[in-house]
Amino acid sequence: MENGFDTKRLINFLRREMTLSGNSFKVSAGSVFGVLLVISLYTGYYRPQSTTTLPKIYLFTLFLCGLVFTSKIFAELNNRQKAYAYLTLPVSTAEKLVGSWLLSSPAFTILFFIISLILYLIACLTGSSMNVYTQIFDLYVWKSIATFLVAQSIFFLGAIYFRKNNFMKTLFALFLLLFFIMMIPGLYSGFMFRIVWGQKGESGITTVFDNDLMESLSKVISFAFWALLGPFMLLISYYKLKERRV
Amino acid sequence: MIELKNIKFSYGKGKKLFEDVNLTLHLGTIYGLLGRNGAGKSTLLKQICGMLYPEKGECEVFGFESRDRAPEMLQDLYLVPEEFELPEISMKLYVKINSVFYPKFDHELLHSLIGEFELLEGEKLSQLSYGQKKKFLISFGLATKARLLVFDEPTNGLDIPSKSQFRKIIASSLDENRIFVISTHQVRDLENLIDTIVILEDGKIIFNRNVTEISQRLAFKYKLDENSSDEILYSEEISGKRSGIVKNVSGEETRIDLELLFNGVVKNSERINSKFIN
Repeated sequence: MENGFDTKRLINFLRREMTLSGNSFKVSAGSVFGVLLVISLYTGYYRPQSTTTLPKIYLFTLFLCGLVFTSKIFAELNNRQKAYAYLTLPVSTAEKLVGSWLLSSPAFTILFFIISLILYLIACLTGSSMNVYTQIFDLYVWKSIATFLVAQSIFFLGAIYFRKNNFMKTLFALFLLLFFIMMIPGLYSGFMFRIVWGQKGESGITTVFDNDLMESLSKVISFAFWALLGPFMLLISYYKLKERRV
Repeated sequence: MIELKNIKFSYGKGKKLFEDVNLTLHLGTIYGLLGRNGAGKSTLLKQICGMLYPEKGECEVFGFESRDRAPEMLQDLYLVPEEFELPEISMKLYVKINSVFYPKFDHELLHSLIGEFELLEGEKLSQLSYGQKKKFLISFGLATKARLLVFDEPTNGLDIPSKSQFRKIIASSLDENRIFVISTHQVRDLENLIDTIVILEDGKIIFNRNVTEISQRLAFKYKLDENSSDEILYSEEISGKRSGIVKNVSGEETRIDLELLFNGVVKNSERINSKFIN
């Protein structure tokens, strides 16, 4: 990162960001916590047999709130009358990027997970169903959190790239991208091979080739999603932030 | 020192603003950047602050390329913009979270400036009027002890006593290590304050002279009847009297009338500038 990285400056930047977004964050977090608490208490007391569905509700909330929060992380930069203060603040682009990512990704996820543990504990205690408490540590929960961290990086880029309605615009862009990606295997197996090789889909060679290709493709896509997408999004975010003008 | 070399800039296709702009700003000087609305004053200031990039050319601030927005450069630069929004927090909290980024920040100076501008430190920024917010930003900017202070229309929104306070504070805050750039179209507000006058018109710097040079070369007269038409560089009717700019032949220095000078330069910059050759 060419214009420096200083830990002290990063900490000062984190303090500044937390102070500036503190009030609105506390109000939103309080409302979400309140709603989840009511749902947890209701489920624990009236429908203890459904307590195991609560982690799924918490995860859905993590995705929704986490991605909305991420989309608003560069609110100061995206406000024409506040952007001057953000851009002329003596903090390097790398520090601004890392600071905003730390707040919107690991810090938010850890905080939300702790709150979920408390809420689930309350629900289990209310319904006397402590035997299911460990289900909040099931593999699908960790996988969902990992998926959130990757998806978050896309919305992080959207928060810099778009100037207004960042959440909805990123969601729409993601929808278009996924639609396009889903079409590729179809196009590839449905058209490319048949056109290039002049064979029909039912022939043995093509089917074996298609299966092998699909397997390799799914491995590549899986690797790209889990290992490359997040860092790649952050790298693009860095350059977008660095090139940002007002 | 701040140096803009061969700056070319446009807002999208067909909206050319700067074509080969060159400007050097020296330490220990208050620059008055004058120009009509849309002349490019704010854009030029944004280029200096690294908020906009030139398409061609270089903009160096204390040896740093401004587009890099290096923290070391930004610690020595503070911008008071024309339009701004402050967060809904108290003045004290604002100072606490922002002053840490400026290593030379002077809390005592801030305290005294806030007092001079008759602001209360405990007040919430959202409860202040636009003029009070501006006075707070001006105070904060001066307290950063940044070497380059950029003010975009600083007197807009200030009441009459605050305008004279502003002039007094700015004049007393300048030292040989600082540069103040004040952009305005309210030229009267800057009289007796600026050292160098830079006039921007249609994206070009058409005039860049210091006040000593101006008062040595030009004379501002409010009765032009005694002067021959050859001597008159620019004239206009003010309340039935013919005022204008003439060549200073007597060597006696007259008070610079910024409004007359601005109008004269905008009308015929070549004629006015020709008096500064040799």
